[in-house]
Amino acid sequence: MVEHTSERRRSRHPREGDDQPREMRETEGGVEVREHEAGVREVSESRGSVEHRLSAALRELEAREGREETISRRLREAFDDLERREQRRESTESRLREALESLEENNDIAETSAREEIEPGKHTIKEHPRINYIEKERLKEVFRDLRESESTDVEEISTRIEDLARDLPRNGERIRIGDLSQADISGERISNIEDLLRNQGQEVRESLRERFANEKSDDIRVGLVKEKLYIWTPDTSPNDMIYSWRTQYFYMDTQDASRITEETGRKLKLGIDENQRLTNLNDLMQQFADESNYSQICIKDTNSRLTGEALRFCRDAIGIDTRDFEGKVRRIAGANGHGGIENPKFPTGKDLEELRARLMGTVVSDCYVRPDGIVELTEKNLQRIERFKEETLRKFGDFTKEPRFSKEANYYRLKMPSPYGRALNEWSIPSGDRTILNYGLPKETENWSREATIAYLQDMISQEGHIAEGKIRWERSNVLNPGQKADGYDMQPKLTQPEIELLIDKGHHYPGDYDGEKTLRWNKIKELTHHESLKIAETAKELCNVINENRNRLMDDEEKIANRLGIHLEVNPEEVAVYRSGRISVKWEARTNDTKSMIRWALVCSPNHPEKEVALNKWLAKHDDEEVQQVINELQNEGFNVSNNWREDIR
Amino acid sequence: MKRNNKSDGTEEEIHQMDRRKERIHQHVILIADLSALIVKELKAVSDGMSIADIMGRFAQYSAGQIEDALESAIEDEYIEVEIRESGVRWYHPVWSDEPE
Repeated sequence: MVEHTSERRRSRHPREGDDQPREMRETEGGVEVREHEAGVREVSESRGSVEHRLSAALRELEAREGREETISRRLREAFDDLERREQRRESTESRLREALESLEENNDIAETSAREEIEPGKHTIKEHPRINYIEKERLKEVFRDLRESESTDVEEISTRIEDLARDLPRNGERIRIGDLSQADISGERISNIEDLLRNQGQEVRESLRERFANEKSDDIRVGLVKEKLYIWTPDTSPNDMIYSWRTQYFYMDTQDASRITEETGRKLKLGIDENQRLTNLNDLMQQFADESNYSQICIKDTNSRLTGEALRFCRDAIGIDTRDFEGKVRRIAGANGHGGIENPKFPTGKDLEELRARLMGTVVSDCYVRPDGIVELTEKNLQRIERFKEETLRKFGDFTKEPRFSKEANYYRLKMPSPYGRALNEWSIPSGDRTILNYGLPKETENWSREATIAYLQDMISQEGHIAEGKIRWERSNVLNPGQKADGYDMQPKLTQPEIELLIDKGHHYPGDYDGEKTLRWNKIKELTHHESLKIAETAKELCNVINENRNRLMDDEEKIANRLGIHLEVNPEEVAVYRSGRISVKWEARTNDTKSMIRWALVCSPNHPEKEVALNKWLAKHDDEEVQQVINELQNEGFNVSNNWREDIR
Repeated sequence: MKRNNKSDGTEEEIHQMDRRKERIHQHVILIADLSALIVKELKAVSDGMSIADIMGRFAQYSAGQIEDALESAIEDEYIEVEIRESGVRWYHPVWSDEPE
């Protein structure tokens, strides 16, 4: 992944012990240095010559006392000459220093702009470090007030970090480094800043979050190590698996892990040897961390691990592509190292958006995302499970688990390792009982591509949908009273005792229900609002109000995204169920409300389920050609990729 | 209730299917949560617990639910089972080598 040969090709600062003048000559600054180096040699040689001449003059003085005056004059001339040359030497040294500083800046620019090719093993990896070095003058300007001020507080530091973070060039750099020792700040003041960042780093981060609110990224990390200030603006896009797995642990061969951390340490100038660089990298990551429990990068004899958070920082520092980690990361797992995903893959961009949509469509329907991150799917069609494994789960890495069949329930149960759940958590799908949490779709779905929207609906309807009476329909429940689970979810009951009694009194006991369990249909509740008993009618009206005030958020959001494909739905309450645990939930139903919507669904996002796909195609095949063609024309005008030869396609 | 020309049966059958699915979903949650409770309990004792100890500690759950929860915890590598000479099943937590 990261090859040390890159070091041999990279220009380095000659004052850091560089013994490669040939490389320096390759740069503009290098040429200047060579000239001045020559100047120094000239001064050095001339100085010896003058001394020699002085000695000769002294000997001549002794030998020729009679010619004292002449010799004195020559001595003065020699001393004058030496003085002039000393002055020239100082001037040369000064120019040399300037040249070296110029070279350093050039090298920094070269480091951030040039793509280096290194060959670790079989394939070539290109680097594009996302580092930007803050110029000395800019540091002086930003910290000018602070030099004169006596206090150092969170707001003062945040203001300066904000200024520097806003400077970040827009060509991909994510890390800024500023050497505060060049900012004309006293060592004591730098220590004060470091103390503040270490002790009140979270406050600084919060302040920065407020300052960058409503901007593309409001996550600004700051750390200070060895008088160098580091500002990191990480990528927070959900279309990045390293970000999505930032809380997980990435296991690698020690050689690969140490190459990554070592290369990062070098790029960030974090020390003079490998140990120091790793220690300082950990120190920096600790300061960047959300909480105090930062997990150290662990380089062991055989198998090493680092968190996704540390890895994405290294990725930015080295500047390699996320996909280049594939094959290097052996496994991703949670903190205890159990289970996990072997040979993980890191899809990115639109591919990842579509995969995420597909995964979400299944998970929010028939899965339980456990608090430990493991995700459990229940599904009765084995072919559907195989499709899900092949088309979705294996896109994130090896998936070898097999579903277990439950005879009593007549369902298969498939467990997905915790990294799936942790990624879903990052994508705003929380762990826990979704009927109690009643969450909606993540905000990002508002900006999903058409392909991602289609992928979501295809997989959601595969799990939840029914094709019936020329309609596609699905049901979702949300809890009104949590019953025994109230404590775990901090949810207050929504229904009062009279409303519960009404449900039990008027509800129906269905086959399979436990004793005391009742279900009351929505139509019946509506009827009860006109009951001759005023008390029953009033209670039923209150019940209706509570139900309407507690709509199913997931279903409402699904209606919105379906609308974006021109599919129109009706969403209504279906029934309220009372369970023996005291749990009371309302079930909602969404269904297509016109034939055109149904045709659109069949043509654009046919279920990713072997049986439901066939059922929908059969319905479409029986349909009138002219009406289908009319919808096809509309879809084509809207830019959908739909073939006129639809009968052939669905066969 | 009239039968429709569809794969999923009558409207009432669809509701029944969904009610059943809802029950299965609740069962999965119950087993997963119970499994987490058992693992927590096992980690708190030094010598592990017998199946009888666990049944006694979680008396409010059925034997079937406890068996399912134990099986799930073993599958997740949280616990392991040892069959002692007496034939008694003894459950231990699996400790991690990693700093958690």
